[in-house]
Amino acid sequence: MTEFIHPSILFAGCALIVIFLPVSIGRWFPPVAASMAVLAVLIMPQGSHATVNYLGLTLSMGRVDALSLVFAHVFAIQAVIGFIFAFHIEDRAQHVAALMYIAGAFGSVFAADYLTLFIFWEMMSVSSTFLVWLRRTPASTNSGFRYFLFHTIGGLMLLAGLLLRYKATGSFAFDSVLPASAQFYDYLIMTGFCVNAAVIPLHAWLTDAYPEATVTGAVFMSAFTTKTAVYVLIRGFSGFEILGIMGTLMTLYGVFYATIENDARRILAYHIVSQVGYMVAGIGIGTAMTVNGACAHAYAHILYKGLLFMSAGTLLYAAGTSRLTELGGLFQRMPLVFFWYMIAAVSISGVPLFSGFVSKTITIAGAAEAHHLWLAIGLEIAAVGTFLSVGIKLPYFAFFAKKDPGMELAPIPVNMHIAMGIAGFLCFFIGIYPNFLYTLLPHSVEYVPYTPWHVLQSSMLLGFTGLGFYFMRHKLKPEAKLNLDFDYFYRMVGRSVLAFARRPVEAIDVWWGEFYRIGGLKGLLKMAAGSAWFDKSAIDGVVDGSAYTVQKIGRFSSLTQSGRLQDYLSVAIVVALSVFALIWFI
Amino acid sequence: MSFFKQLMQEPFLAKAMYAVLAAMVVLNLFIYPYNPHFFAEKIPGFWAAFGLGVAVALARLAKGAAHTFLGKDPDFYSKFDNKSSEVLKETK
Repeated sequence: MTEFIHPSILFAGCALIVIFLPVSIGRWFPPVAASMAVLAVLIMPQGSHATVNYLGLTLSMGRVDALSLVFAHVFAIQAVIGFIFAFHIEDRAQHVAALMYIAGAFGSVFAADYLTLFIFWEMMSVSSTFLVWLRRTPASTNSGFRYFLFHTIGGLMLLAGLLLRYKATGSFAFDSVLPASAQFYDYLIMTGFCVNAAVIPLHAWLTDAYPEATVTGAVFMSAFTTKTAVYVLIRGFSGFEILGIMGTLMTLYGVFYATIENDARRILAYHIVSQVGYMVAGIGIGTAMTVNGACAHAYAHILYKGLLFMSAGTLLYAAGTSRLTELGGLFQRMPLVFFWYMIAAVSISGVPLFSGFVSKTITIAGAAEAHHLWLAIGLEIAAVGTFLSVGIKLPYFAFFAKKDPGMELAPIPVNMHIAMGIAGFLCFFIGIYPNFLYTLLPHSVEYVPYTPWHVLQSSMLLGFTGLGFYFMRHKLKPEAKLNLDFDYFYRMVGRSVLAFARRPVEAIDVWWGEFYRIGGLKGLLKMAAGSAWFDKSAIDGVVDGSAYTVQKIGRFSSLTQSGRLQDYLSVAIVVALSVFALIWFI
Repeated sequence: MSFFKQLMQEPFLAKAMYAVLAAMVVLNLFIYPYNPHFFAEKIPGFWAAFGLGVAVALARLAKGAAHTFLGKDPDFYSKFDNKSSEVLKETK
């Protein structure tokens, strides 16, 4: 009889340890906790576990079945890789934020009710915001706020949906919804999930924040946020046709922008939108084959996208920039990083023998077999765009294209190479031994990836894409430009709020201040004079003691008023957690 | 004739690439899908033309959009952010 050990406990417990230890010791713990999580996932029995009563509600935190296990499996592996990659980091806060973020991801995957899901969902949202802020640059601070605001809006949609749903059905159970019987609240919940899945036009937080996050933070974020959203969409909203269409549009939208972007990590971020599009399309089409395709692609994607962000992050770490216009010609000095990058690049592009080939083609073939021909063609167009931008353009302009700019390169810690090596091996291993992945999938797999036709078709498609790049290589030269995206509209909303605060609200404030000065202040002064007389003659002795107390409290609370919203948010979270803990124990 | 002249002037790697690509299209005459999902898949070299066509069209379209209405100066947003920070400082 094996036990269910919730991986979130391992990660959250580890975070608690890391907080109190010197970072030189504490940083050994996250890879160990992640390895224990791998073990916990491998031995956990299927069924319903960890059901607790809380505030009069029954929360189910341990739904273990084939679907949750696929995601838990790859989450645990990626956590090990990520923490090895981040081992050299001497910033304790980054380790803690990553641990709590992954704890949230596991909690969301095993949640069987909407309330539990919401709690872990928000835990992910808050901790991942810190992974952006902890880069500690003005750009990352601004970007982190936009990221947090957007996820708060998504979280509120989820909350509104689950509360309305509870009112209508009397249950928080998180089960599959049939498209024909979906209600308004179901669509609210789905929209909340779509924010995290970066479904266009709700995606711009991703391409805004990921390139500004810490080098290691982006590696973690690329794996968990969107894929948790893919998981909950599979769980709740398989077969919603709108997702099939939006997913295909995502695949095209992502590659379109990746073709013109200049920043390597932003190119990769656009490719998350594109690749998650394959999964969302598979979920929307909703057959056993396409849902299998979505799961398989999520599994493969987490590994190769992690490797892409690791190798691009290593470029940023060593060269101090990830802009292609400032890079180029680095192959001679970073051959190993190029090698790891290319393994991930051929994997994402679906080159035979690598993981993307055995996962992406299931969804495309599934779409065609389900008679969604236009969607299948859209997905093939995106496959061309993927190879064009990530498979050829990015490495060509980062590692070749011109003479070495001669910039000084920071030495790359060996743990980074070890992590990239593990990820690279897995990308190749899944490519040559797809049954490792197929046996994990929720439905039985009848798809055979390695037929002569599949191999030839992919080779022709990608080979001639290479020829297209060769013809267009001068036109595709990166430019130091910023490309407008939907975040333009979000920023407009922000600016409107600011303008509203500066003009009408400020005018009212000034008017009220004047009114108070002329009318209110005189009356108050007279009242104060009366009070002063009363105070002097009667209360002084009594009140002096309490005045000193108030002064002390005031001094203490002034210490917490740093003027930085990040600090207030941290304090608010600590207070909220303490209150929850108090209620729990009482 | 000029096409072959031009071909012979290409570097060795490019010639090798052309040879491999041509070999794949030739193979497509013998290896084809038993259950094509749509008519065009039966045409030898369809996916080759698809790959080349989409790559060229995507590069032209995306770059065209970037050069006309999508591409802005890198400080397009940060100009406003800096201005807002100054206003906030003044307010303080």
